[in-house]
Amino acid sequence: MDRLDRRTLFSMAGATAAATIAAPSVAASVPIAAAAAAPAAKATSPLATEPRGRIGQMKRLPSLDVSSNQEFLAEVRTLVQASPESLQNAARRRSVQILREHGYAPETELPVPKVVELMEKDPTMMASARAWLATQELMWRGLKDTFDANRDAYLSELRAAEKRGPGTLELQPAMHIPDYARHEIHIQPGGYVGDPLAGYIYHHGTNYFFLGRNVQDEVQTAVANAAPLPTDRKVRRILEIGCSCGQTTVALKRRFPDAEVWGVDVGGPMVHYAHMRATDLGVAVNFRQALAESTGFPDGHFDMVVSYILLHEVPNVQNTQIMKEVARSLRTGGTYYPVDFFTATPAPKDAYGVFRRWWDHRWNNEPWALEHMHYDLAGDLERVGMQVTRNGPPGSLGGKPNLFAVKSA
Amino acid sequence: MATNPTRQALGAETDFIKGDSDDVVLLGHPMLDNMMQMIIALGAEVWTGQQRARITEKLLATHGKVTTEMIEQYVPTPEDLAKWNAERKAMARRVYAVMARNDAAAAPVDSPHPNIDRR
Repeated sequence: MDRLDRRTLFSMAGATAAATIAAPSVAASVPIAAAAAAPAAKATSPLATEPRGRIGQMKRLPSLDVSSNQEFLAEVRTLVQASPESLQNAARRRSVQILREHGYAPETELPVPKVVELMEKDPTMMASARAWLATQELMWRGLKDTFDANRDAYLSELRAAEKRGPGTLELQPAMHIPDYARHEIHIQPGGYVGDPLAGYIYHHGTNYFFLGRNVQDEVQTAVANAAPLPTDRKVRRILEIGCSCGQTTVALKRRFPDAEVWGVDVGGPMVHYAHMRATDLGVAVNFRQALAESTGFPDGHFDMVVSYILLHEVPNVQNTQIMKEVARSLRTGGTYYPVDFFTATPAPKDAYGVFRRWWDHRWNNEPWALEHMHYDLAGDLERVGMQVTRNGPPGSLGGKPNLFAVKSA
Repeated sequence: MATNPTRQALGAETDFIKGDSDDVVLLGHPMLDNMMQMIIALGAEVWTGQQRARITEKLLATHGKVTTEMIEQYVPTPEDLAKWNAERKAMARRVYAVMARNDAAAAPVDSPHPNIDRR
């Protein structure tokens, strides 16, 4: 079988309209080594890494088996987490019983240590957590094994894309990565910073966070499309902080094709992958490896700043610094649109909700997600001269009015 | 701190702080936790084999032959996806919905209200 040209395969968008075997169109494509200018591309073996093409803008996983396996794990997660007969619903019901057994009314608000003490020995509560975590672990391991199997080819592919446009990539190999960002967040092997292939693993893995319903960046596109305009409606430059693999960044560029759009992330591997993916999609966005609290852009540079599920991955004290950086980098009248846990809905206070957040923090390795429940985002924004509106356009999490802020004069 | 055993690096990755999820015991004994994971993993493996069989059968019906390459390259129709999604959901329910059975009666082993007292 001939080598595949990833970009030729991308033109297969919409191929789901009819059953096809992709091989005929593949055979007519040119080898990627001939299409890419970077010399390193010659070492890339697209056959080994991308034999199955894309559906829309999502590159299919490299084999049917790993794809089927991941889909089934997402199905089990749905059953555990989101179906009417879910184990988590059973756990929620059980939590009420536990409270009653210990003399508490169901609506009693208890401190976290007390909630944990009451819940953590109960079989239903623990089975609920363990089943969810099993799907999480199996999902990550399956993806990591898959991409590691062709590791050299993927690394070559990333390297070949570094200088390719449209858009630019700025890596900072000597950058000091603070400890708070070096954890294996949500038990992703190596976290955002430790594995050169973290972008591949994260992109496919987080699709299963969304229970397999985010293949075409539906969630990130909704966030980008909801971001409020500046007061004068002029948009020349946009920044996404904590951009991970660049899905929202790309969606922002698609909404504002004439704007200069940047994504920054602490994870070098994340922006590396984000850049490669954006160039594959032909979207001219720029990525920089940088901390959200120290982006390196001039004062008043941006008309809009957006963040999506960044803040709960950062300690509150660092979030305070991030809000200062947001205010610094926005021009007067510019907007900041953060979509995250609790920017549209309040943090849970019921025992089950608190326990769910606690075990996500403890066992799903979300180091900062528990303290994020108490983060005063609006207060921090107001303290740096931002005018906060709590009933802004809904983001993608829950569809309820979401907070946003405008930089005051 | 931990590092990945990478044969090749790109330069912008760094060391990371390893999580302890592999050591977490939630069900009272590590073997129970391990078995929960085995059961879920096994279901995924069964589905994976079934999915390969579905595509093989479809290709044989439409092309009269099948190769590994044809299976890997097969792009499902919307009808395929709808059917497979329904079948996957049904299988997951058949196998795993039992996990939430009798939740109202569930109680910790040291509960002051063991199940036996309710019967």
